[in-house]
This record gives sequence, structure tokens and C-alpha cells, in this order.
Amino acid sequence: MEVLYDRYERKVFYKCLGITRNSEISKDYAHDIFIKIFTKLQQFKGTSNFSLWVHSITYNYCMDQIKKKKKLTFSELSNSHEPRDIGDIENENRELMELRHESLDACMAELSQSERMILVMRYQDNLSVTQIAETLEVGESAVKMRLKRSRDKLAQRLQEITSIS
Amino acid sequence: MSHQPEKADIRKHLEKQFREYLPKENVPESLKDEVFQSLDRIRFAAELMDLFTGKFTASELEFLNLISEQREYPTASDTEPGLDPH
Repeated sequence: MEVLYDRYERKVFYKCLGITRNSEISKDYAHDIFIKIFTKLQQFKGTSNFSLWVHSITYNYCMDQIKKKKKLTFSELSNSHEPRDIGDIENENRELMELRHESLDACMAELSQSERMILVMRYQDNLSVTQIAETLEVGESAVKMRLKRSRDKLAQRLQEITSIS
Repeated sequence: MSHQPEKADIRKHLEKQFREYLPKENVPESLKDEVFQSLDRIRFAAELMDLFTGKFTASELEFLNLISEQREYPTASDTEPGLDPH
């Protein structure tokens, strides 16, 4: 167990920190996530990637906390119209080509926890829309819509920062 | 002629920036201790529950079996003439 903990400690904690941007809250989240991982360890079937399984528990836990706090559900978004192909959506925000990791922190600060989470899933963990939908147990259209909104907001914030500097 | 970024360019660029984006804070040193202390408490609680449910029931059954066996096959001391109530 200790080996597993050491291997995933940074990944889980930083994932939480990327979403919450608060060290104390992230510590509490990471604590609960590790308890879930260790108590559910026997349920891991071994058919899927273990790292993905850990990520899935991490994201689901964070999602539950966000829902509890803001009463925000992804299912609300599934009623929205079906977005176009995700590649087209990504191509809309060309200004994001100017984004640098040094300014990413400031841009992410303006986003909500669920928006940060979906961007981290897509661009840090390289999860596909299908994988995100499976992890969060929501429809692909809801994921696409949330991704689009998050990217729009990120691009808007980047423009604001660029215009100030 | 200006270069128009393609879909894959934007995605790859974002993936690169997000990979390089690492939080400044370190993992709190106390986290590991707290996780393993909580796990110990959970294990202890589970053992305690098992003691009062699983193991307690098992010992009760064992005890009842022992009594019923004694009734079916009484020992010499059980059938001593002086102790016979009849």
C-alpha cells in the first residue's frame, strides 16, 4: 500500500490542487481519495489501466464535492444542443496558441472548479471526450459543451491578461 | 501569408502548456501519516465489527453445538446415579 501511495501521492494531490487551487482543501480531498482507493482496491478488476482507475476515482470525488457545493450537475448540460465536432470547437479558439504555461495559472484562476477539471482531464491527462464522459458518467455532448465553455472562458481571460500587459 | 493553426496544432499546444503547468506547492508531509492513520482506524473498526458480528455468532454457534452434542451423547459424569434428578 505504501508503494502505491508513494507512486500516486503527487498525481492525486496535484490533480486536486489543479481543480481546487487551495492546498488545505486539496489535502482533505487527497486524503479521502486515497482512503477510497485503498478500500476499493479489491474492486479493481485489472482489465483497465490502474492509473486511469485512480484518475477516475479522483475526478469522481472532486466532481461530487463540486456538485455538493454548487449544486451543479453535468446532466443540466445534456439538455443543451449537440455541439459540433470537438475538433471544430477546439479550432475556434485560435488565440489559445498564444497561451503559455507561465500565464496558465492566472487564466485558470478565473475558471470554476468544474471548468478547470474538464480542461485538466482533456489537456493534462489527454483523455478523449469519450473517456471523460465515461469517467464522469455523463453524455459526450455534455462534455463537449462544458469543454467549449471552459475553452472560451480560458481564451477570454488570456485576452484580458494580454491586453493589460 | 499568415499561418492558420490547424485543429491538431491547437490541441498539441494546449497539451504541452498544461503538461508544463505544475502547481508551486509541495505535497503536505502530514498527508501520508493521516491517510495511513485513517486506514488503521478503518481496519480496527472493521475487526471490532467482525468480532461482534461474525466471530461472536460463530462462537455462539460453536457453544450451542457443544451443548446439543452433550445432550445427545451424555458423558459418564452426566449420568452419575447420585446426580440423576429422577
